[in-house]
Amino acid sequence: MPAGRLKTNETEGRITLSRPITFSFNGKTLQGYQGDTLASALLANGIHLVGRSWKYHRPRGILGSGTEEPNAVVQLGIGARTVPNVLATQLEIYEGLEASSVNCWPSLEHDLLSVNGWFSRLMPAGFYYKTFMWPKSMWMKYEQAIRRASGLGVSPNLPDPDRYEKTYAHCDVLVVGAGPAGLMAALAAGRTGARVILADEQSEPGGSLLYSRETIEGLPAMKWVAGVWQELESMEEMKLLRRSTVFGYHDQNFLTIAERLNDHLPRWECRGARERLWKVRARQVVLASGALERPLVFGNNDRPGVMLASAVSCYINRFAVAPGSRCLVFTNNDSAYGAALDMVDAGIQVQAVVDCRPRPRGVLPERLRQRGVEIIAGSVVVNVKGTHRVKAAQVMQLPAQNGILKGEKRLIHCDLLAMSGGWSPVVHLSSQSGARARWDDARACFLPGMPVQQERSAGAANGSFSLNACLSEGSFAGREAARLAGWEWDNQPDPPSSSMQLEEPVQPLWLVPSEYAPGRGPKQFVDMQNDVGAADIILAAREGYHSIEHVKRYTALGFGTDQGKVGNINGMAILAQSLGATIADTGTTTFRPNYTPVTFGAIAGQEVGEKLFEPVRKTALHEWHQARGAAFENVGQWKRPWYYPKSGESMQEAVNRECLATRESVGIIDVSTLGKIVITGKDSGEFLNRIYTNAWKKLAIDKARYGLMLGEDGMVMDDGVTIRLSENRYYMHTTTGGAAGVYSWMERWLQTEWPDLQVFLISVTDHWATAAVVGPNSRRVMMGACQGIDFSAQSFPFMSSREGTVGSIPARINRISFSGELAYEVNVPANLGKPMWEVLMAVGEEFGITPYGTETMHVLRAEKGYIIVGQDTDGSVTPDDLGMGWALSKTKDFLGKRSLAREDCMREDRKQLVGLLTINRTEVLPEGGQIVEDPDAAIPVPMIGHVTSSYYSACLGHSIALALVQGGRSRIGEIVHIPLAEGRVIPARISDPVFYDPDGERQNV
Amino acid sequence: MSDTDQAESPLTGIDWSIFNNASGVNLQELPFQGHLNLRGRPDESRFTNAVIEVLGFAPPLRPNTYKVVDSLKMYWLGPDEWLIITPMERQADLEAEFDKALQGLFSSVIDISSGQTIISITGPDAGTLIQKGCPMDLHPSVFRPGDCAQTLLGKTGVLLSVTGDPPTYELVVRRSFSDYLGLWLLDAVEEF
Repeated sequence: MPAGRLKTNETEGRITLSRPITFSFNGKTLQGYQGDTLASALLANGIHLVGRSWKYHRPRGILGSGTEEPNAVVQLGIGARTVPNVLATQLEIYEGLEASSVNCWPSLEHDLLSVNGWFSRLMPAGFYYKTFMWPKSMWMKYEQAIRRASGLGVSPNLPDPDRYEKTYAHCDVLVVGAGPAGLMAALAAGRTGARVILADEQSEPGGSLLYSRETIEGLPAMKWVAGVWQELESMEEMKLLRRSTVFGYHDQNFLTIAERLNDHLPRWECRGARERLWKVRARQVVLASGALERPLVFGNNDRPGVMLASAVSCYINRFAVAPGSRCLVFTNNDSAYGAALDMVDAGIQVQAVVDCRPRPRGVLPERLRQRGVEIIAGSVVVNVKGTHRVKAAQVMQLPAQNGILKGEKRLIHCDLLAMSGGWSPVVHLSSQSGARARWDDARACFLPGMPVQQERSAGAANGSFSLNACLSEGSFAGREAARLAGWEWDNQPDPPSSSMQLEEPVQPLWLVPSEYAPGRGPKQFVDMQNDVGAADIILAAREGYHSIEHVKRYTALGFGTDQGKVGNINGMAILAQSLGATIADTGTTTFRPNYTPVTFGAIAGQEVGEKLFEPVRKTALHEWHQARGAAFENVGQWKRPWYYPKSGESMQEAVNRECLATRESVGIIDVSTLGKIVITGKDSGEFLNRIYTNAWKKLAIDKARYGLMLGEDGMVMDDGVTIRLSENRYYMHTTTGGAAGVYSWMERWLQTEWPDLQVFLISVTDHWATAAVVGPNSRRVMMGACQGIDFSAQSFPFMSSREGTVGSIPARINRISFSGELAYEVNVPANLGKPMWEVLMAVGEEFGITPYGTETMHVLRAEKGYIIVGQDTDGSVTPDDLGMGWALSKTKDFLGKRSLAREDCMREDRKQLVGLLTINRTEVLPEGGQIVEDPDAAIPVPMIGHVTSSYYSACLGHSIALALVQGGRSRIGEIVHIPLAEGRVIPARISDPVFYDPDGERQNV
Repeated sequence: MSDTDQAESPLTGIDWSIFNNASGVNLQELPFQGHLNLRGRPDESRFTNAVIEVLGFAPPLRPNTYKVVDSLKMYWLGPDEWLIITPMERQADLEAEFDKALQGLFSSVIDISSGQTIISITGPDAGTLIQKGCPMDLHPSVFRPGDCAQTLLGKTGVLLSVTGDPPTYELVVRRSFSDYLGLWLLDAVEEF
């Protein structure tokens, strides 16, 4: 058994001596036991030095025993599963665990950057701001070096191999913390039958009872805990979450919990997810999050071997570990005497208790005196000797009045210094919930403020530090929370009572007086993780920083992975002292989620990667496209075929082939993704009149019309073809990306502004599979594939609609075109989409029917100068800008009409849609390219427009583009220039946007 | 074989069998049902009478509930909107009967059978599975047999309903999102 392990029988402490565990730290193989944390196992092996601080690279040891630890931060594991910034005090050891120190190079014992410590006087608060900002251009370089020198550990640079789960949960009462108060709250609430969640961050319930030697109802504390836990487990509506940190308290009683499922297990025992994120909506919350012990601020208080007194008790009682052999205790309150008694009983030599209070006379001090331990009252520890481990401490008498210390310095040898500066309730979650923490002078701590949500604090979290108070407050809070959630039970037993004694009051001691002027003596650390000393805060105050929020950012007080859990209150108090203000006035910095670091994995859950990051919407024909080798393009959430390359074909070659086949014979494209909305009711025509810019009332049944939809600002928001199906029913097409927005937009007008209109809207996008058959041979294909329709130009003209069958499938066929070619759109119920498509392909075979994707569709429509809303428009484009003034009705009102009369909409130099023909016919302009008149003009070169769409047109044998150009329509024929990022400039001639078949004859044949 | 025999349900590509039987959850698509969207004003007695005439029962009027009568299931979707699920063989007849019965009324019936599909989820862990991706409280005391809700599962909208004890859930999901939802369910069910 390692030297630091106390001789104990197996029933004592929370470790299992029969289950030894082998692990490694900094490459050295060590042994611990089931139930150990890395910190307790290291201490058992006599290892105190575990890391280096981030700024001065001072040697650091283990300060605490839980979530508050600022120093003992390690790197866990290697490769894809390495975790930075793990607290050794929270990490349960398991077989094969590998951990290493951070912030040291080349080794922990010999860290070259510890020279920073020698120059520390030259690195005061705000050092980086003051030093590295000049010259400004060098900051990026400085920053790289600084970041490398600091930082806490390294992130993995491989994909995370673990699985993460997430779930929602609801409960009547959420209890945070399974210490004495939390257990009682859960018990009292659970007994009413309420739905309760009890979450605790430790491996087993008990909280402070895990290292307590008190009795409850005559039972050893942990025996009592086991009984309570058993009762809780038997409750049907009780959910018990261990290793689960409630890290965020958000609005509407929404709390987030990170449950660690696997981090305590060796790799080969891990099953399922590593973590689970709980998103809990709780009717009522009981915060029983306990309290954290404060360090005292004195010279070299960061040396390995200086520990919180409660942590010393914890290592002795919970882990059967002696963190030292000769201890000096330094305190301003009674609780450290309990730790001293624990030490004495464990056989650790307690050299003395240094108490800043002049006459400590409580029950615990008295008990200690009886054990023959010297109490040095009215005194303080001013300095610690030893670098890698405490060797001795210097003690001085406090003067009657405040001021610089004078007089005898007593040197006391020790290898452990246990300190207690009083207790700070964990008010983090209460503060996150919106309650403003309030200062309590008597207890010298911040207490939870008046609740603004449905929450209450109990026990130590509420500033009630005695065990009896924890038990009774917890019980009351649980009962009250359940009652407010609608659950009561009359037979609640009285809360149990414990053996714990009353304590004398704490005497605040924020900064131990020194014999030196601030900044001159040994460093007195306030925030150990960020190397913030008392002198830094005093300097910040002297330099004019009076707000705690500013001091935090100037000194880095409370930054880092621990967020100042142990250091902040001391820091705030020292600032208050320096400013001559009260702590209540100085206040706290803002407590924000997260309470402790949360992995990105837990937040992301399984919503990562191609499959689940974002829904992929597929048409009924998706598998057909896939089998055909289509390359896909994302259009909103949809996957659409982009082009169908044949083997060896480049994208451009495939698109050229698809374009030519369609223009010369026949092509086919899946247009199922277009939004489709049925508009029905007797006022449907009037509704369309108001929604669209053009007139609808005279549209005949089975006829189709193109419509342009504007926002209230008069800017184009959507377009599409609408067909009149019957007297009172229309079938509207929207753009693929605009479908959901257009539907909501129209519902909004119907529900809020025009409730008098008898119109219903029904989205049928997903019901229909639609194939567009396009090209001069499309009529022949349709005639071969369909029954019951006369396809002659006279009886089925352009912009009309017919019902019939494709093969034996009932279909609606619309003769509309987005390419300028003779074209038909075939609609069938999507379940029959694939057989419909296959019929068309089979019939089309003799004409070489060619499936084409969105790229070819874009080229074909651009050749015709047809816009795509969202590509050629950007929310600042009016119909007139697009040359579509013809679509604006002069005789009726429509949404956006009035805005078009604004002066700005009438400017002659507005950007207008034009075509661009590059001078070099094969050079394709980049979309988004800026257009200038004179590329040699002085910088900034005036930009007169930009390219919105640009392609190579195989059909025209020419590169074509659409562009928005200031006063464009009056510039047709002019040469403009498009400068590229690489420095080259492409000249192009402004043209009409219709490049192909300007008279529109092809679609009307 | 005629072309209409080759119908494909939205989830035709998903193989549920790997998880069913062995786990606490059973997933199944209920394909090829008739889905009719019904709109109308419940305060117009001619409308409710027409519904009774066609279906044999009145539409559910309490928000977020459904009714099951024989092989028909009718969901309340909004103050003037319902979804009727029928066996496919009755769908066309019902639609025609509605068209006739609703003539002259401000109302409509629209076939959306191909636009969505139904996934049934049973087994002791069914509720836990859905709760992973659904922000609503699914506790049996809150979401009770006869209740339905238009809510989220993962990142897609679903119409969720519950029957029986132990609860059996049915999800109605839009066709284009069904493949995503299928993948989501197959992933989420892994732990059961």
